[in-house]
Amino acid sequence: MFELKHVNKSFRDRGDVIQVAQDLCWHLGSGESAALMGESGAGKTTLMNMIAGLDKADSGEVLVDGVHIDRLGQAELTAFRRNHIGLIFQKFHLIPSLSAWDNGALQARLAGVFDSDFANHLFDVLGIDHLAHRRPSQLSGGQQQRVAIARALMHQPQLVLADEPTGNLDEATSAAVIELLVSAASDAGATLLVVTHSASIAGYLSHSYRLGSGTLTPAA
Amino acid sequence: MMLNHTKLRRSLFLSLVLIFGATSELAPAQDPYQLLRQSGEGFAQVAPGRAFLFPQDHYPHERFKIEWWYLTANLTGNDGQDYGIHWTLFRQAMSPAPNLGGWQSNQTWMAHTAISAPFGFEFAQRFARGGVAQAGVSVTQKNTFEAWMDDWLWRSNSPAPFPGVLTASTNTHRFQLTLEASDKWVLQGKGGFSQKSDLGQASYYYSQPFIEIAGTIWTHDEPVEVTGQGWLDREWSSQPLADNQAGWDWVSLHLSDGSALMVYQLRHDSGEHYISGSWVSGSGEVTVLEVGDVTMIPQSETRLPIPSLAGDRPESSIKDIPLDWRVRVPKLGIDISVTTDRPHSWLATAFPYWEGPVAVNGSHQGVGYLELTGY
Amino acid sequence: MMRATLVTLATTLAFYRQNPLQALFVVVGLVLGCGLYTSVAQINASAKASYAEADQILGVSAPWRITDRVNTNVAITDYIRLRRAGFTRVYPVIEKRLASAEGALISIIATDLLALTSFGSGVDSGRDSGVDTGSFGGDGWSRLTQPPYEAWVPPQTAERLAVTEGQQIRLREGKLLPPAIIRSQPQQRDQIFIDMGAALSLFETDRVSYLATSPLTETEQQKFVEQFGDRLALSNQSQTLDLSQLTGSLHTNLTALGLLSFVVGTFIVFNAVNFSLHARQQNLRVLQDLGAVRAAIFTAIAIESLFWAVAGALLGTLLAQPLSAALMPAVAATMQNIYGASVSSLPVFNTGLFWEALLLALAGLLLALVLPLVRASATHSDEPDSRNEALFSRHNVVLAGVGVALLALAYACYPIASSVVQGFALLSLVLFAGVALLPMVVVLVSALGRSLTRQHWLARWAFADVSLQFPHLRLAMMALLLTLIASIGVTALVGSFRLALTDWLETRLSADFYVTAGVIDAEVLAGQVWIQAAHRRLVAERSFAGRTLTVVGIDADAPDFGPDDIVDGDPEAFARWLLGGVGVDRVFANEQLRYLGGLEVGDTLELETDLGIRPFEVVGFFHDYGNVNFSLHLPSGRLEQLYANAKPQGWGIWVEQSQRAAAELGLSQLGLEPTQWVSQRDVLALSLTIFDRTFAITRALNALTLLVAAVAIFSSLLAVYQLRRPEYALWRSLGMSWFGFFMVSGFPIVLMTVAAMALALPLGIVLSWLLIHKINVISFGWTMPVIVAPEPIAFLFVVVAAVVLTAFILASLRQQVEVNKALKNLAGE
Repeated sequence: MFELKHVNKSFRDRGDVIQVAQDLCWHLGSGESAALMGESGAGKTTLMNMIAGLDKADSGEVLVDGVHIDRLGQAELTAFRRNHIGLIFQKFHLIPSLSAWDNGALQARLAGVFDSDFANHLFDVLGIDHLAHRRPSQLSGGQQQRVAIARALMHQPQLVLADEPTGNLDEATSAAVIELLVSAASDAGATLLVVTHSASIAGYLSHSYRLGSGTLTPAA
Repeated sequence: MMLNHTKLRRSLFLSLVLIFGATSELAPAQDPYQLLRQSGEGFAQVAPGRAFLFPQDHYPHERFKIEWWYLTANLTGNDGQDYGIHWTLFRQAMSPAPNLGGWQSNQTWMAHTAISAPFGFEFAQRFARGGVAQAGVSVTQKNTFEAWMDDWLWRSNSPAPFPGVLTASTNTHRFQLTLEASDKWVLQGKGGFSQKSDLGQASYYYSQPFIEIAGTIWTHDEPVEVTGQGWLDREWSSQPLADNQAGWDWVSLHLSDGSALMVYQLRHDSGEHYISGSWVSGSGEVTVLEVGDVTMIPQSETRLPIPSLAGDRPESSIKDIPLDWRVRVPKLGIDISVTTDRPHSWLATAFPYWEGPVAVNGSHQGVGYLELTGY
Repeated sequence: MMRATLVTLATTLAFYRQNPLQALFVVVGLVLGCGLYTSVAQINASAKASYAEADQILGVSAPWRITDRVNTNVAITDYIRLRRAGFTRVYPVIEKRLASAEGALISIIATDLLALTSFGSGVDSGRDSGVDTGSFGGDGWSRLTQPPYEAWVPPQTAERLAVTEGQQIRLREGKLLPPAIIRSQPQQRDQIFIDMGAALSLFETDRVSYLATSPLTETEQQKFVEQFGDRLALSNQSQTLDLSQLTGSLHTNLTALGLLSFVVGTFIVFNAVNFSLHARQQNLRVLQDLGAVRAAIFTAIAIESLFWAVAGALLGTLLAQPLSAALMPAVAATMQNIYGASVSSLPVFNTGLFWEALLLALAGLLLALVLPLVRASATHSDEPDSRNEALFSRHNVVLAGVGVALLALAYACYPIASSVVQGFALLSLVLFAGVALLPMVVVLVSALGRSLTRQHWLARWAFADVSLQFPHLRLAMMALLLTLIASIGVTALVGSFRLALTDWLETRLSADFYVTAGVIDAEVLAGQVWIQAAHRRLVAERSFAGRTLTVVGIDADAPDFGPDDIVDGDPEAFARWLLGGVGVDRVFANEQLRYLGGLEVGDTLELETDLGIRPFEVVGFFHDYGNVNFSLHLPSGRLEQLYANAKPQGWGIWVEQSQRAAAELGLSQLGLEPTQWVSQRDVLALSLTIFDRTFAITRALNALTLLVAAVAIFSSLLAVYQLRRPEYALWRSLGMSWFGFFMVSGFPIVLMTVAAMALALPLGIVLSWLLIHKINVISFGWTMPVIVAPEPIAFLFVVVAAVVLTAFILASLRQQVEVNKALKNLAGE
C-alpha cells in the first residue's frame, strides 16, 4: 500500500544530527496493519510524516497507493491527502467550534465523499452516535479520539496513519480505542500504520517494526 | 483678540527705536542719542543769519528733524518746601518727505512731565503720532497758542505761549500753573543760531528765562500752592550733535541779582568740550558766552542707582553722575558752585537723562535746573 | 534577586528579538495612542494659550471696550477726544476678517503702535530683547505709517497664504494690502498687522472697530459717563466675550477625540502585551521552575513595561509635533470661522504633555498587563478550546446588559444634561454602550447565520469559527466600533452642518446678485428691465444679555425671508409680524435668543430705540446658522421708525434665470466695478470652501483613529493566527485547499466587521443627534435638522472594509509558509 525506496532523511536538533532514515526501504501491503516502534527521538513521527506527505525525504522515493507522493506539488499533495489518507494524532486535534458529527464528517466533506449512512455506521461502530451533537470540549479524551478515528476513516482512505493515538489516554480507554481503530480500519479495508512506543498497543497490529539509527527492523 | 503683551512690548520697542532711536550701521540701537547725531540730509538745515518771527516761531518747524518746547521751573510751596517742575514736548520728523498730514503724517511727538517734590521724584512720558490731533503745538480757532499731548495742555490766551496755563500729571501727582512772561525773547548764540560743534552742527535756539509762575501741585490729591520762576527753551535743528559728541551738560540758573545764566557744553569723546552760553541781565541785556568766556567743570561724581526703563527691574544699573559743578565766567565775575539736594532725578525714559533742580552758591546765590545727557 | 531579575529580563526581552514584529506592535500601539493624544492635547493647549494671551491684552491691560451707542463702529475723532480728555490708556483697533482673491481667510488687525506706549508702568527698552533693528533702517516708522505702508505677516500666515516678502495680498473685492513684511512677532497668531493709518485709508473709513482700554476706576467711569455717556458705551470685554467659554465645546470635542485615539491605541498595546505574555508563559514558567522568584519576574516585567512606556511616550510626543503642526491650521480656521477667535496656527510644545503621555502609556500598559493576569488567574487554562463555547457566556450576557443599561441611562439623562461636559458624558455613554453590546451582537449575528445555514457544513464551520476568533479580536473590533460610531456621528454632524449652511445660505442669500452698500440707489435699480426684485436689509446694533444683538429690517415681500423660515411660531405669526402690535413691536428672533437668551414665543424683551425704551414681542424663531450674535427681524418700515440711523446693507437683486447674463452686463453698464458686486454663486462657493476647510480637522482625526483601529485589527489577526497555527495545520493536513482555508479563516473578520458596522450605524446616528441637539444647543444655541446622508456613510464603510481587508491580507501574507512549517509538528509531542 505504501512503499519507501532508498529513503534518506536526517534533521538537526540542537546541534545533533538525527538520522531518521538511511537508505531505508519499506513496504506495507494493502489491508495490512503495522506498528512503528522505537526509542524517543528515533524519528518515528518524521517517518510517518513523510508517508503522510507532511514532510519531505532528503532523497529516495515515497509511494502511496502507487503514487509518487514525493513528486507531487503542494496542491496535488493536499488533494491526495484529502482523498487517500486518514490521520490520527496523539492530541486528537479536533476543531473546537464544530460538533463531534461535523468533526467526524470534516475530511469526507472536504473530499466530497460524505455519506451519511456510512457516517452513522461509523459513529455507531465507534460507540459515539449519542455524542454526535457535542462539542469537543464536552467530550472525554477517549471520546475525542473516537471522533478523530471517525474523521480519519469516514472518507474511506486507503491508508490510515496514527501517531501515538492512545498517548493521551488511560490504559483501559487505550485498549478500547485501539481495538476500535484496528477493527474499523480493517472493516474499511484500509492499511493502518500506528506509531507507538507501547508493546501492548503493537500487539493489536499484524506487524511490528522498530526504527533505530535510520534502519528499520521487524520487532518481535 | 489680538497682539499679545510680549508682542506689544516688542513692537513698542521697535517703534521707539524707529521713531526716536533710529539706527545706522555705525551705532547700535543702544544709544538713543544717535538720533541727534544722524545727518539731517534732506531736512531743512540750520544756517546763521535767520530772522526770527514771533509768534510764528513758537509753532512747529516741520521741515526740521527735531524740535522741542522745554520748560523748567523752581518753585516754593506754601508748605515752605522746594518743588521742581519740568515739562517738555518733543517733535520729530521721521522723514524729509513732505508731510502728508492726518494718519499719514511723518511727525511724531514725545512728551515728558517730571515733578520734583521734597519726598520724591516722579516722571511720565508719552508718545503720539502727529497729524491726528492727539499731540501738537498749534494755533486754535480763537487764535490762541496751544501745546498738548493727550490731556497735558499748555494753553495761552494769545498766539504766544504767555500768559498761559499749563496742566500736566504723572502717575500720582499733577499740577496746574499759570505762566506769565514778557514778550522779550532771548535769542541764544548768534542771533538765535546756536553752534554745537566746530563741524557745523547747530540749532536755532531762543529762550524765555524770566517766567513768573503761580499755581497748584497736587501730590496724591494733596494740593500745595506754589510760586516761583521758570525758564522756557525753544530749539530746533536737523543735526544738533556731532558724531564724536557723547552728550551735553546744560544748566539754566536764576541768580540772586535778578540775572539769568545759561551754560551748555557738548562733551567730545576726546579733547576739548564745546562750551557756550549766555548771561541775561535783569533788564534783559544779553551777553553771549563763547569758548574761553566760560568754564563748567565737574567737582565730584555721585553714584546713582538707575531705574531701568521697564520699571519691573527697579534698579538695573549704577551710574556715576557729576552732580556737583563749578561754573566760572571770569569776565562777569561769576564763580559759583552748582549742587543739588535732589540727586534722584533720573528720567528713565526712551531718552534717559538727569534733569533736576539745583542750588547756586559762591559769588552768587540762586536756583536753577541742571540737565545731563549721554551718561 | 538582582541577578534573578536580570536573567529574567534578558530571557523575556529575548522574546522580542525573536519576534521583532511583536515589539513593533507594542511600540506602534503606544506611539500612535500617545502621539494622537499628545497632538490633540497640544493643539488644545496651544489654542488655549492663545486665548490666555488674548486675555493678557484684553483681560489684564485692556479688558474693556468702548463702543458707539448707535453705530457699529467708533469714530476715530471720538478716540482723539477721549485721549484729550485724559483717557490715555485707550487705543483704537480695527479688526477685519476678509477673504483673499484666492478665497483664503485673512485676519487683519490694525492699531496705532504709539498709542500703546501708555500701557505698562514704563517703556520696555528691549535692550536685551535681541531684536534685529537692522531691518528697520532709519525710516521704519515712515515705511509703516506712510504709503505704500507695510503689512506685517507672520511667517506661518505667509506660508498659508503663499505670500513672499514685498508681495501684496489681493482681497476678494479687489483691494491690495500693503506690501508684506514677513515678521516673526511672537504670538501675532494668524493676523496680519497694519498701521491704523493704513487701515483707515485701505478700508476708506474714519471709524474703527472698537476702542480698547484698561480698566477704569470708579472716578474715571463717572467722568466717562458724564463726558461721553450719551454717545459711547463702556463694557467689560471679559464679560461679553469669553473665548475659552465659547470654544470650550470644541476643545472638549477635540480632547474626546484625543482620548478616543488613546483608547484605540491602548487596545493595540493590550493586544500586543497580551500576546507577548501569552507567548512567553512557557518561558516564564521555566524560569520559575529554575528558581526565579515571583518578585524577580514581576520586577523584570515592570522594567520592561517602563521601558516600553518611556519609548512610546517619547516617540509619541515626537510624532505629535509634525502631526499637530499639520492639524493646527485647520483648528485655527475652525476657531476663526465658528467662534471668531484668532488662534496661532503654530502649536506650542509643552513638557507637561510628555509626562501626560507617559502616564497614559503606563496606564495603558498596566491595564494590558493586569487584565490578562486577572483573567489567567480566574480561568486556569487559557487555551482557546476552553473558551470556544464562551460566546453565549454569562460574561457576554452581562456585558450586553450593561450596554442596554448604559443606553437606558443615556436616554434617562438626556433631558437633564445641560452643560458641555454632561453632553459629552452622554456621548461617552453611547460609545461605551456600543462597546458593551458588540460581543452580543457578534454572537447573535453568528448564531443567526449558523441557524440560517444549518444545511451547509462549510458555512456552519465558517460561522462557528467566529467564536474562535472573536475572543482574540474583541478588543480590536471594539476599537473599530468606537472609531466607526465616532466617524458616523461626526460625518452626520458635518454633513448636517454643511446642508444647514447651504440651506441657510440659499435662503439668506437667495438673491442672485449682491451690490455693495452705497454704490447705487433705488431709483436707478428700479429702471432696469432685467430686475425681478431688489431689496436691502437695514441693520441696527444693540446689546442684549452681554452679547451683540442686531435688529434687522426686512422687506416683507423680499424673497429671502418668509413664513417658511419660521420655526415654532403660530400659523398666523408672519401676518401678525407684518401687522405689528399696539404698543409693542412683534419680532422674529434667532434661535440663539431662545437657547442662550432664554426667550420663548410670546416673551417680550425691551430695547433702547430712537423712541425710547420699547417692548418687543417674540412671535417666532428662525434658524441662524453660526451666528455668534443675537438677532431680531422687524419689518423694515418699522425698523426705520425705531432706528433712524440703521445702516443699510447692500442690495440683493433677484433676476429671472434667463436674465442672468443681461444682469451681469447691466450691472457693469451702471458703472459698477467688478469689486462692487458679487454673484450668489461666488458667495456660496466661498462659504462652502471655508466650511470644508474648517472641518478638515475632524476628518483628519477620524482618518487617524481609523488607521489606529486598522493597526489594532492587523496585530490581533497576527496574534490569533499565530496562536491557532496548529489548528490551521490540521485543516491542511485533512486536505483543505488554500481557497477554502482562507474562506473559513477570513470569514469571521468579515462578519465581525459587518456586525460592528451594523451596530455603529444606529449608535453613530444617535451620536450625531446628541451632537446637534445637545452639544450644539448647549454651546451655541442653535439647532439644525439631523441629516444622515447615505453616501458618506457608505463611503466610510467601503473605506473600513478596504482597511480591514488590507489588514487581513497583510496578516495572511506569511500564513501559507507558516502553516506548512507547522504541518510537521502536528504529530508527536
